[in-house]
Amino acid sequence: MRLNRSLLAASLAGVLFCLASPVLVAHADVVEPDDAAESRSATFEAVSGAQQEDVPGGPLLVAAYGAVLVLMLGYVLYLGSLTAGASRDLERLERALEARKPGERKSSRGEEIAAEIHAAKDASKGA
Amino acid sequence: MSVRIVSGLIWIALGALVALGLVSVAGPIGGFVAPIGFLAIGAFVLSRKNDPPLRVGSFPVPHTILGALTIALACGSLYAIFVMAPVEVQMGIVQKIFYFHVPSAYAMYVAFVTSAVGSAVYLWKRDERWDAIAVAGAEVGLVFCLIVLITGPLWARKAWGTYWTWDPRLTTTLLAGMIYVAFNVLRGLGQAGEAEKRFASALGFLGLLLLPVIHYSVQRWRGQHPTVITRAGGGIHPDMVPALVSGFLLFTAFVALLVWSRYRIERVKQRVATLELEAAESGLLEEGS
Repeated sequence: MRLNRSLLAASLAGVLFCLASPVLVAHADVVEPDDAAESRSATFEAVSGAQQEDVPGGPLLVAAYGAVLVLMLGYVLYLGSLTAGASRDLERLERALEARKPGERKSSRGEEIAAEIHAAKDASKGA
Repeated sequence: MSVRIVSGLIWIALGALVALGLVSVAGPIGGFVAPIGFLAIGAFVLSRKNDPPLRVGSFPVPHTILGALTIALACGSLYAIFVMAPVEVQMGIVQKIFYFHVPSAYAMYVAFVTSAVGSAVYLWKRDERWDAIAVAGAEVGLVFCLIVLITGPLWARKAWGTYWTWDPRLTTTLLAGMIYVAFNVLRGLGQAGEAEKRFASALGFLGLLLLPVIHYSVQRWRGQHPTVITRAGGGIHPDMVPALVSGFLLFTAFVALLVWSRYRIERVKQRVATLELEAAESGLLEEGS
């Protein structure tokens, strides 16, 4: 029930945030393009025919898309390392449990925890 | 009908409301793409289980479908950008950075808003699930913020003749990035205690207040940053629209996939830590094992 209330509250907070945004738009000072630089920053038009470039755009384009690729792949690998770390933690817990004799477990809650850790490990192996 | 489903439906209705507003403000492109973020959040809320299973490395079916969709969208988007979209008349080929730069900024907004909502609710309820959402949003948002801050200067080198100027939008974006760097550094320093979590959540919520400033800075304090797809802009050539729309679709799927993945990992980490603590208290583990 607590979760449901918090979800509802978050939704209402989002509504309020988005309703407030148009107020900022209404008070924004809109400047119309009045020269070539302004026009360039306000509209994109297609080229017709061949064109010479003063600053070569190719290396900049390759660098930009390369950076996106590297960052995305890097982050996916990082997520993989986090997953591997969680697997290692589960294995460590399992080894620690196996090193104990069953008689040393002191409570029914302890048994439940051990069962949950074993189940998590099995799920990890099956993935 | 549970309150959880009602919450998800509110987000989806909110998307439609924002669409109507943005169509009048930013044209059809803004109206089309902005609700997707809210739809993604709505789907995220609807798909959440109260107590996700403790599994490592497993991929549920919706996750796999979303991953496949992201790969398909990436292929389609690259085709639209490099084959279908024409070269821009003044900036040449470097203008094609625009098709990934702008959707990255949009993905950054979605992730940071997710983090801020998670932070605010965590501060209120002290529920670990919302803390995991805050962590996931902040981390993924920072990745997209880095993409924005790297691709933007590469575009600017050609357009402005310099990699960086202290333009209002550039400066406010950098500031937002620094706030979420602080968030991630704070949460990354070993096992975060309650005080660290609360302080980081406050930072996450502070970042939310900066997002409207970033978005409206080019209208409020007219700098050099382009305003092509805003109300003040002149729009883009019709042949460029598919490339931009496909970029927005790709980054919507990507941000949803990454936030969801990171959220699941954080939940597993939280539950492993809880189990470890409970196992130690129950006498199942040796001291320091």
